[in-house]
Amino acid sequence: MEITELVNVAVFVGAGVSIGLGALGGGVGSGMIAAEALAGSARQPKERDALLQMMLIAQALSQTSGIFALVIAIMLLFAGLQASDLAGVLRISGAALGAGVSMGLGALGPAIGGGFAGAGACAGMARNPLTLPRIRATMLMGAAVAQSTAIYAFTVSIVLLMLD
Amino acid sequence: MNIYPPISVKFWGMEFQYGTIFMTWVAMVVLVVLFYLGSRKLKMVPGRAQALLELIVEAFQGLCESAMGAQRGRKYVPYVGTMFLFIWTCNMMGLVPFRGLHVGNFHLPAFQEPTRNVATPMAMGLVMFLVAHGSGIRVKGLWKYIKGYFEPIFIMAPLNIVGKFASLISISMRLFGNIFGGSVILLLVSGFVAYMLLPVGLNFFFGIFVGTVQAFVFAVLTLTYTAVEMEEE
Amino acid sequence: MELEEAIVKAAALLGAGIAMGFGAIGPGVGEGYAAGKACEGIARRPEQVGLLTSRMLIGQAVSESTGIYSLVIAIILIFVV
Repeated sequence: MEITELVNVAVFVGAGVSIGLGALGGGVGSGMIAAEALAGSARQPKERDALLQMMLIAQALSQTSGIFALVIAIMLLFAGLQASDLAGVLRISGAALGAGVSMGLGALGPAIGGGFAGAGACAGMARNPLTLPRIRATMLMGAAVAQSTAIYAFTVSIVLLMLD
Repeated sequence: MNIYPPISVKFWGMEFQYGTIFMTWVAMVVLVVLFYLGSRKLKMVPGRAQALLELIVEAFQGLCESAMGAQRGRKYVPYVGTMFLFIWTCNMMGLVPFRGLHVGNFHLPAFQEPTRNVATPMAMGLVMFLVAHGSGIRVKGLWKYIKGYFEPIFIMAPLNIVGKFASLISISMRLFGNIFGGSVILLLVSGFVAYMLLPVGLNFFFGIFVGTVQAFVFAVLTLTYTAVEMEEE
Repeated sequence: MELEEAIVKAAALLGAGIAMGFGAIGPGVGEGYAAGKACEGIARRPEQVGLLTSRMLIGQAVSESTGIYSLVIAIILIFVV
């Protein structure tokens, strides 16, 4: 086996870490939102449709960091990273692993945070259905700001991948 | 993977991306023409176009007044509103399907968002930074402004200073990352599933939804940081 | 030597990834929690929307700072080391 094929080890591990950890956060966050939306529907059966709409929007927002992690994983797998010698192998392995770890962990926190935001929004809506537009606007704003650290991690991953 | 357009102009030792500058001008022209035409024949009972523009202006008026108080808020409405509209127009430009025209020596670049280049969001962030701190100094006076960094305790000064720069970096990178990430994702997904309907839905979500939300978040954060700087204890 | 430089570079890139990765967890969870509580607060007192929203944004900006520190360290590790 060529020494240059050892790069694939880091690429595959990086891709796996990225999407593995990234999917974790998205799942937990979406679950929290769904739980709160269900509790709200039980408390206020008339608000079912509005709560469903809010839940879907919040879950979409919470899972965007998971989508970023998926994109990094796909880029790692299909970018065709190659190295010419041992030094190159080490450098590219470090970059690939770093990109995967960065995005994987980076997608974890904001997704859970988006879950908290959406859960709070659904709970608030069930409590006071008249304030729906303000709650929706605040939730969108708050969730968008919470996703920003996922964006930083995404940027760092892209920079690491584009380095050579 | 070559994502940046290869056309750039060297000018006084700095490199400018031709596509980004061209698209910025297009966005500016679109906004100026739109609002000029909309405000030409102002009627007491507005027609549809004027009503739409009034809706936007009033939304920002309400936002500014609730953040800064009535008389100060009105002065900052053009600033915050223009931030939002400019960034929104820039973000929407990525949705226009125009591959570019290359006829002989005449080159028209493909439509891309100016915010895709890291320079545009950084520039908007710098504007926010300068206006916020300039307003703070103007309202509070230079001495009180500097003293504010030493609140609540003397040692906190470096942390406070770094915190201000953190807001500058955070709003710029948030806008840049979202828009650039969206465009990278679209590039990737379109190449990957070229003949399926999937890219259309994704285009809608990432382009319109994310673009609008990020423009709004940028404008509201600009307003909030400026209001915080101008708060007198 | 070439090999040592490569090892250092690889470690720097991996470290940048770890720095940004772990650094993104905390602010993400914290800012989301703040947004959730702000929404509940608006439900309780709809007339305080302006105050609640601006305080939420300020709190989120403060908790963003450590995320920015991670970003800066990651960029330094990539481009300077």
